Amino acid sequence: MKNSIKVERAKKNITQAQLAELVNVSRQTINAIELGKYNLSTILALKIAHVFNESVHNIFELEESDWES
Amino acid sequence: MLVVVFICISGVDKLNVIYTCLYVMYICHYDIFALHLCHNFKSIIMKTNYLFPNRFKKIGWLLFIPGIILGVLCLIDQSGISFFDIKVIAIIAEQSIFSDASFFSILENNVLDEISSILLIIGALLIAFSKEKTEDEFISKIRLESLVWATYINYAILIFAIIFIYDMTFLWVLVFNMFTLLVFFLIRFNWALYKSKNQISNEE
Repeated sequence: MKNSIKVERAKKNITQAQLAELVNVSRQTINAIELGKYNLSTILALKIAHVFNESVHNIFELEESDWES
Repeated sequence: MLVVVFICISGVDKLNVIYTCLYVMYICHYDIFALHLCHNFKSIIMKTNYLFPNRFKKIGWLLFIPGIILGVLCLIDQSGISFFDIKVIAIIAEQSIFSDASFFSILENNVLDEISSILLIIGALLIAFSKEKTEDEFISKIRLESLVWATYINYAILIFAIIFIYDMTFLWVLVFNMFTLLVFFLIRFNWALYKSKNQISNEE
């Protein structure tokens, strides 16, 4: 799954720590999501989208490899 | 049961009947209180994923470190400090290794090893299963992975010991094995947390 959290953060000019605080998670979590190392829950995805005032689809995008089991 | 016994003993004395009624009411109230407690307890458990609040981590260390010190003391001084020789209630105990077991006896025992192992186990449980400052889904994932990893490593070592280690030394392996699962979990979990924290400082 690709995500554009880093880009959105840059647009809004907030750090990983600030975003983490806004959605009630640790900094490590935001970092792991940005690096594509962790597949986040639906609830957290919706929260992050809400913070950026965007639709979830604009921030998170499925990749070909996600369909392989 | 208790109430019935109480009535039997008290006979038909009026004052005693009043006391009995009060006692029954007291028990009923206690039951309602217990039901409330059970209900609240259920909702608490469902919210916390069976983890303790963050402040219990400190208490865990306060128990774990004395546990280690006493444990090492036990290993160094096998005969034991006589201060800790007290009478204990044993559900099952043998007088010597090859004699028959006796049930529910009272015997004298050096309780230093008992104290240290209880401190170690409760301390390690509290450290391992207290929430992190921000316990979120990613940390829960690390926690689960570490627990699975620690269980595999622990039993891999145990299987190795079963095959290659015998007699009294194997008994010592079993003694250490009581604590190694939690210790392996603690090492792996904190290492994974440290690694993910370190990654941040590299990124920014």
